[in-house]
Amino acid sequence: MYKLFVSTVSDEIFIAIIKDEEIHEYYDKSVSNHAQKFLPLIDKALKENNIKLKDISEVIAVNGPGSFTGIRIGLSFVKTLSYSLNIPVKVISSLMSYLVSSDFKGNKISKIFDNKGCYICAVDQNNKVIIDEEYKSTDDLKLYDDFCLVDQQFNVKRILKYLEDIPFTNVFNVKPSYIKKIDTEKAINKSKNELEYKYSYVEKEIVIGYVIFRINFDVIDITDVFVNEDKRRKHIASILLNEIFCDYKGKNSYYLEVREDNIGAINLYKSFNFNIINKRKNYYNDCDALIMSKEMEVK
Amino acid sequence: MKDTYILSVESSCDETSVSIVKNGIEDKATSINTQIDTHKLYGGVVPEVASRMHLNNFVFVLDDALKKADMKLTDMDAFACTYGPGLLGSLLVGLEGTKTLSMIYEKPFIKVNHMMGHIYANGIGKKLDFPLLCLVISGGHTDLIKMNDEYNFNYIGSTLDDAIGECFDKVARIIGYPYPGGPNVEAAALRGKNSYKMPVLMNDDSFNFSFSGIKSFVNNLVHNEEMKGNSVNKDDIACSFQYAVTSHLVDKTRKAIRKIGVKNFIVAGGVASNNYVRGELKKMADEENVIFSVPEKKYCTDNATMIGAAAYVLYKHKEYSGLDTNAKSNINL
Repeated sequence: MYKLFVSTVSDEIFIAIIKDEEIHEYYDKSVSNHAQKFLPLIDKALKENNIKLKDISEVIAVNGPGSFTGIRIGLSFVKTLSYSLNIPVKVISSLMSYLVSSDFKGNKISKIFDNKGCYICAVDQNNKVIIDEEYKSTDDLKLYDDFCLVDQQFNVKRILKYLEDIPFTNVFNVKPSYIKKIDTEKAINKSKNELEYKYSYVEKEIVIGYVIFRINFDVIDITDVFVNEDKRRKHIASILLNEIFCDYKGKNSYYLEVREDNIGAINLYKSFNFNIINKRKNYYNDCDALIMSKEMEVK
Repeated sequence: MKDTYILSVESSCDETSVSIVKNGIEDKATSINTQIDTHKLYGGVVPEVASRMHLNNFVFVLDDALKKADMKLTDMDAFACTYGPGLLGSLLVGLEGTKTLSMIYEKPFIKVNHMMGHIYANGIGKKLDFPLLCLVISGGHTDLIKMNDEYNFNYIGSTLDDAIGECFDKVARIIGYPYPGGPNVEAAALRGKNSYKMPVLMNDDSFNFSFSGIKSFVNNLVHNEEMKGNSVNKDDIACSFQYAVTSHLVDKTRKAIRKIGVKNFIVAGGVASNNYVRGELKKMADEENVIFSVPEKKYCTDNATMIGAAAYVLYKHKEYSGLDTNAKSNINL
């Protein structure tokens, strides 16, 4: 019986046909159009091995991250094939494939760059994940300089060995791994670090504003509100504050401090029913701080 | 003669659809998954979101259609799919899946032009008579096409700027109705009166259309009133707008029917699901004494059944395509 390995996640289409210990690899480099090249390459691989798609008994699919369109071309094939002929599928990410393809013994990292940043994933010498797959802006990357960077190459034998313990995926659940959200998906990320909560406004993968607050029983203390200079006056602070008010509806009072000369911010807080309750002299060295509060709204 | 079963796929925009069509005329089963609710959040179709959803939905829809038809993939004589025009990323998902099916079962793969599909929505359940004049009205097209035969398309008129469906969507946006604009304008028009005077649309001797003028007019009207602090009656604007664009369609089509002297007139495309437009075109056809046909509403909007009906024509002409077939975002018939 034959196993089929397919990857379309980069500009290299990579196919392997595996029979027992024999591995036949086929690839098409610097492909600009996956739709035109992928199935013809599959066809060529099958013909050279004198087999048909019906003879495939297992498919291993690389499901991203990488080229969005490339990923979909490959997975559309894999899902249709698996559904039609009832062939079991195993899924592995591109980052993990590169990592397990390397025989380096120690902490290693794989990186896939795109025009704005980089997908990363790191494992230790036993291929245990140390850093989960994520998308980083290029500035954050120097943090991982002590890891060994692996090549973007597939070693099918090692990948198969790694996948031995990984279960099959039901065809209906075979999903791409884009990692990156879509540009239009503006998201509010919520995180908690010890006592501090942080709500960040993310647009095109970049944090452009955040609000930090602490919760002391029924009092919420807003300690920091920030929006990138070029993204101000777009209601981002309002959206973030509103999110907090929605999440902690009706059971809290809110406190914050604001520079007395920051009229825009004061008006914003006033629009959310914050009132000035006190003043701290020279809190900001050169300027007084106003303490504003918003009482819980009981209905 | 042996029956021909074609499994057809449509994924050009925001609907994933699979259908099994018998002899190009009978809808054995059709399954459609629409993404309208998702795209409502964004106020329109976001291509990357659409492509992602197509990939997740395709196998479910395929499975559903086969179960509804109580058939197996091995029963199919050919596999067909829309290859354009449409959103590239979306088209590719359906296209790659369909090519894969054709490769597995070693049956012909047929690429179908989405517009030919819309036209052949008229051929579901009944045979088309030729020669005929076809008016295609959709989100991307406003065309008058003369067909002398089943696989013959002669453009005699087209829109010079916006397509009519696009114009409906834009006007909906201007007066504040959410996506999808067309059906919302239609519903509003029912509540309103034809009380706003709209500009006269291009009234020349050609069979071409123009919709950008009325779009700008509505835009200016609404904004001017807003600046003055007056409120506008949205329903009345919708009604007046729908009346004006439909009259434009009717006038130009009437002109074409008289000039080329066909006996059969068919309407196709998403805008053909608008009741007022259907009604007015039918009235005109009756006045001109031509045989009128418009698809059932469910076949007017995007669906795979129409792709199967068109694919049957291509199947008879042995217009098969290869595994290297690519999607095209912009093509004519």
